[in-house]
Amino acid sequence: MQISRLLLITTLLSMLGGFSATVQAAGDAIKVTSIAQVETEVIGKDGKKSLVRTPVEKAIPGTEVIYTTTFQNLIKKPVGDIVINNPVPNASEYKAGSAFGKDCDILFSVDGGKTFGHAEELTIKDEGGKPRPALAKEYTNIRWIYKKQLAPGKSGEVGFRAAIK
Amino acid sequence: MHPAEIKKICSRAINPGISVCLLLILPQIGWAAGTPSGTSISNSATLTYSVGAGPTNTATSNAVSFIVDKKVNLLVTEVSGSPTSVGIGQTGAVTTFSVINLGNDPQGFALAAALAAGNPASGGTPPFTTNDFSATGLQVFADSNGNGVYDAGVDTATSIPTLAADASQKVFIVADIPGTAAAGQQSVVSLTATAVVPITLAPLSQTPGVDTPGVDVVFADGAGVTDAALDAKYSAYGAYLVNGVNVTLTKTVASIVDPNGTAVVMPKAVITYQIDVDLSGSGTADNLVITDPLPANTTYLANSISITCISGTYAGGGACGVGTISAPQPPVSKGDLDTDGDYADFNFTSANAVTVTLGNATSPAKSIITFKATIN
Repeated sequence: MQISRLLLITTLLSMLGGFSATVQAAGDAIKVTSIAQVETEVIGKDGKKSLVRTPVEKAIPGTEVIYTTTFQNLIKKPVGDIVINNPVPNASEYKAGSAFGKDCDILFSVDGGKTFGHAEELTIKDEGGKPRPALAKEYTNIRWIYKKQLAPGKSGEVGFRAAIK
Repeated sequence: MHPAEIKKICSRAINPGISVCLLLILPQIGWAAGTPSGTSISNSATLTYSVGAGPTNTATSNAVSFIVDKKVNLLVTEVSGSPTSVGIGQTGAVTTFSVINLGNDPQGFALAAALAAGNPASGGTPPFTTNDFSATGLQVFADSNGNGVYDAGVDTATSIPTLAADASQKVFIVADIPGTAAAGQQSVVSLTATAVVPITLAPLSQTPGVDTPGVDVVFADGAGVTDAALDAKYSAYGAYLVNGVNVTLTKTVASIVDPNGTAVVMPKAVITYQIDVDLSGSGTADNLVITDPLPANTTYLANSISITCISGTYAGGGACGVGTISAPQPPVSKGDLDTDGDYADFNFTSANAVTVTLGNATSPAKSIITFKATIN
């Protein structure tokens, strides 16, 4: 299925040029994969401690989950204007300072994704209506703005940590 | 929360200074109750992009999801942080503990009281270390009516049927102090609470092996004074410290009146029993309760309890009131109910027994309890 679609895209590209090709390629130019993992400390045979990531198994309140999103360019052209949006999962608290993403500008929202800003810019109105700095646990959405073009075949990775409330 | 996390919050989000840091840190402490088990947590990312000068396209990731498991966690603490002050020979002395459900689901709790092993008590921290005599007749009761104090005859449940996530309940160990104990000696006792299935109180076991599709049971408790970590149990010490008070109870027959008006022990003769309560030495006997079972082959004569308060200082509520008695008081007749607020009853607090509460009595103190019974 994947191959036949790619063939079609390639054919269309060669026949009609870029404009119609991008319309056709909507779902397929980039593949986005999300995983959830936990980090556990293991002691090797040499006695040294190391951190190992495994899929989420025993998930109890307090467990810190690492969410990683991988995006890969499947077409033969560079892809630009890449913006990744990820709501903080339900029943979870974003862990301060945990968002990562090479070549990305990372923004957060505290209003369900209506507005975004850098961590230090975000405020929440207290009971008296006065703005105060927002807490990491109050973040509702995370946005990564990929500042480069993603070359054909290349992939990027962004992610964050959130603890189960 | 790790210290590194705190630092990060401060350095990232804060300019004005440390006071704002504290503001940030405090509300972050604790998801003690937690998300209930069975909750599905799902994550999905959406990506927008464009190719060349083309329009914006959208790609959505797979949704990754998992189910929140049952976290079993609890904490037991001794409430006062200091030993219960008791008199020599005191009965029904109470130590108070708190059991907190730190799991994410309602949980039942089985309760067990025990004497600490060793002197100093194994694993104990001051003041619950010195362990040089043994309290006797240990019993454990949950604070069923939730008023925070032990009510004999009311708080009779020996387990907590169900406790909501993040909720706590008081638990009491009730014990007797032997007459052989000496002033300054301490007996360390432990309360162990075990998380069990609510209501049925059936044992809980961890889901073994790898993750299952449903809700797994995960033990997350720490180690208490006599239990290991991750065993669904938690234990804490409390203690009884014998002060200089010596509680002496002397029971005598004050009079016998037979149907003929003489003093012959025969059926239908009325016996007046007298209990002299004598506190000597120095110090306070906390929550002093006198319980006297009715002698065999006798029948209690209704409303026959009487108390004569002669001396002593009393606090906390009791049959001799609150305050210092400097001159002997006249006898006061008491009712038989435990609900009439006179701190004396028959067959309510304890079955077929006379119970009189004197509260926290400071030595020297003296009072006399009398009651009547008919020979069968």
